[in-house]
Amino acid sequence: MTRVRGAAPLLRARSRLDAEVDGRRVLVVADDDRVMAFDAICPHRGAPLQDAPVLDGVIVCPWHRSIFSVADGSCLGGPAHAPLTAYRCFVDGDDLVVEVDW
Amino acid sequence: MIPPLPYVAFGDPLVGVPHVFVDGLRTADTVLELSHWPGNRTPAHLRRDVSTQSVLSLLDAPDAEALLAGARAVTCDHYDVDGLLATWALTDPERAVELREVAVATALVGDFERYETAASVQACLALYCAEDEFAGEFGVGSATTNEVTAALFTRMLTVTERCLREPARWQAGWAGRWHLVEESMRLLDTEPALLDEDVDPELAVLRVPGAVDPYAVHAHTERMLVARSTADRRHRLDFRYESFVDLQSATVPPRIRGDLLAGELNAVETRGTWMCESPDTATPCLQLYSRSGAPAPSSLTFDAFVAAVAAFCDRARADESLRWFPHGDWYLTAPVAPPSGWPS
Repeated sequence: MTRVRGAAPLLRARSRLDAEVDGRRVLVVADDDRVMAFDAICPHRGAPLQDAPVLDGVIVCPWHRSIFSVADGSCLGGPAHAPLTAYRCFVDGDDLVVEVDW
Repeated sequence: MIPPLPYVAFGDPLVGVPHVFVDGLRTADTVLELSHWPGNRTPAHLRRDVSTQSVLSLLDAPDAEALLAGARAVTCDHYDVDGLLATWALTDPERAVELREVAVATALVGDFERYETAASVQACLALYCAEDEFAGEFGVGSATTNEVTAALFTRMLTVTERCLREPARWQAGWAGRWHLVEESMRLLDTEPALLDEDVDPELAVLRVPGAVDPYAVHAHTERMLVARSTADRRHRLDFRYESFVDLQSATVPPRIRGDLLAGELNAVETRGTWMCESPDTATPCLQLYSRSGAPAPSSLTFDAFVAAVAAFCDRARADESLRWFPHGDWYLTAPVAPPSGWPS
């Protein structure tokens, strides 16, 4: 597990957060009561997902519109054939804890 | 004939290496840009609709050696069919000249999603199949965008010529899509009224629900906006790639602000969120998003959707703030700017 200090207020303000966890770019999304983190790179052609639109429970790749569920990273449409790698998260005070095992 | 140039990946390996930059913008070490991106600095006599055409024009140009000015590499910052073919043409100029016709047509199919010839559509589909094979071989989780791009170019350059010459080797992968392309071409050839161009001068409306391949649609209309739907009201408006690039063969109207139109639709929609990427992305698409994906079924009828698009286009003809006008430094403010475009 990795702790991102001071990230929780930022996530509460925007429902999404671009963060670096152990040198790896992740996109953190708060959706209903759940917080999930995803590798911030599209499995299709490697587009960066830091600026990807997140709306109505989906993440949209800004290059070719692959669509991924914020529930689990599964691919719901577009040219990607693989899901986004997803990591469970939880808020601990002002920190965000990402359950990574890389 | 100019000597072949090696491909060098965009990013750190390229720093300090004088290079030709294809299908993108420039870095501090770019000596020649061969690109159709807005704001490109391609020499005027080499500008074409797609970057592959610009490279092939360079190969014919009497001033080619002078233009290359000591370039030691070719690079591109994103992977797509035109970028690949433009890069390949400089890594293997002799083969590129030999395969010029199919290479150019394939680049047009890839970028503009437009039927050119059967051979070029099949070659493009073969390139997609080969890409899918390679993409499964590397995980992208720990990679960077530049690393994924470099891996795709490195692998795909080994099969580019074969895809152009022998697309049938990948036929098992593209046969289904090819069947749809053929059926769609036949449908629109025999029933051109299915593509309605009477609603608005900038808009084509596909009046048949269900699967009609965009390659066939784009081959049957010059309109840069295409509206389509399904029987269960999954509407979408596609902005064609030709209206993003520095197109040479035709003049097209500046794009309307689909992102603003999405906001207007959201004021009346009850079943999801309309979203359209910024007009300074390559191929924006206006569609409704929900938890199940997109396009989601809308509360609006297709006629109401089309009427809203047409009304926006009409207003945009009188109000330039509803359109996107690219300028030389557009990428500095674009929400999804290309990684190239470093100041030089």
